Amino acid sequence: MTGKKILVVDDSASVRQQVSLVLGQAGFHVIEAVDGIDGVEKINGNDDLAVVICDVNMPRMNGLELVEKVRAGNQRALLPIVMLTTEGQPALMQRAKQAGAKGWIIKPFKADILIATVKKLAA
Amino acid sequence: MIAATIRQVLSSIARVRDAALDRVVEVNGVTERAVMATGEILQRITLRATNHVERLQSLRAHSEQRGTEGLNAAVQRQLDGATTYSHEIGGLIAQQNVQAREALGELEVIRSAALQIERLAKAARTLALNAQIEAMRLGEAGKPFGVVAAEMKLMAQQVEHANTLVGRTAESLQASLPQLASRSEEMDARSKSFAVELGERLRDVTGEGESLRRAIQEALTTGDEALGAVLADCREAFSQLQFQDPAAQQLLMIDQDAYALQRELCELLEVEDEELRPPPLAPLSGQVSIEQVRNGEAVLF
Repeated sequence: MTGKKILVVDDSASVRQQVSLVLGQAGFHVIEAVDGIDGVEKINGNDDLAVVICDVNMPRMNGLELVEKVRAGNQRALLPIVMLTTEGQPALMQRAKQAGAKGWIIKPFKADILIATVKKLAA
Repeated sequence: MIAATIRQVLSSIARVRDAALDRVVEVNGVTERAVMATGEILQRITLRATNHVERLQSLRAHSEQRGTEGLNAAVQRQLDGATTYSHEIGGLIAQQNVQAREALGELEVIRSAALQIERLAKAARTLALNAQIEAMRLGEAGKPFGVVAAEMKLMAQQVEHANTLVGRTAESLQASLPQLASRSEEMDARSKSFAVELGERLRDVTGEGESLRRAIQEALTTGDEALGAVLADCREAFSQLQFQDPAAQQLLMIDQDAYALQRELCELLEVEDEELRPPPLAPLSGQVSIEQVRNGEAVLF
């Protein structure tokens, strides 16, 4: 489990830093992307990604659009993507589920919940 | 008594934690909505600036390709037109001068003919005079002859008079035709001079056009750089607004510390009451539905 590569996609540098710190301490190798477009590029450029953690509200391309684009590409159809967001609307969660996301974490996140979620999906 | 106090403390801690977490989530949501609204405004600014930059870049590329070709071509057409006009005028003037010289030649012929007619008229008058003298000498028999002689004399005078008019007219034309030729040549010279001056002025226009093109290029480049800076500032401003997530995360850390304190107190005081003991952390609410997932928790699809 340790050493697996995780991508965190969030336009907030502070959130990326916090997630990287928590998962880094749990033994994961974390890389970062600053928005949806950067996230898609990093996904396409890293075949060994285990899990993607993605914010919803981002400029240029939001998180749900990122999920839809990645799933439409077929090559990374099985890559687990978890949404990490303050949004808690059931309709949005349903949309993410239909688009192909594997989970939804509501911010602010609890470190142990984040770690447990990533471990379960990376297994 | 102590137990009751402990129960109250633990109960208060639990209430404070719940209230704090609710407030954390509420503040986080409020600030995130405000940030996103501001972010949308910044995105609109960015989009407008991007569109403007693209238009400027397109204008600059078009200006670089075309340069002043269009203006130079127009100037050249004007120059060519003026030169052609000048040549045509010169040709017409040359033809006119040829015709004027031919006319002068013909006038000379007319003048010669007029002189000859004058001589003939004088001779006819002399002849008429002699006829009259002869008629007088013949007396009565010479009267009809005298009448004819008188008529001849009259005709000779009229011919002389008409010939004098022709001669004067020919002389007048001979005097004015050279002046006309002189003026035509002057027009030709001025036409050529005009073409040369026009060429110089149009070259000035071309030079000004090139200066204008360079000024436009410079303005486009400056505008492009300025808008690029605006775009960069907009992106940075949007990033700076993302303060609510780390703030909420720190507040959640406080809650987790309070949770740890609560559990530690329960362990220390050997509190068995389930209502007071905080529940153990359930890492994943795998069985929780989308509608039931709570703030800070996760749901797997």
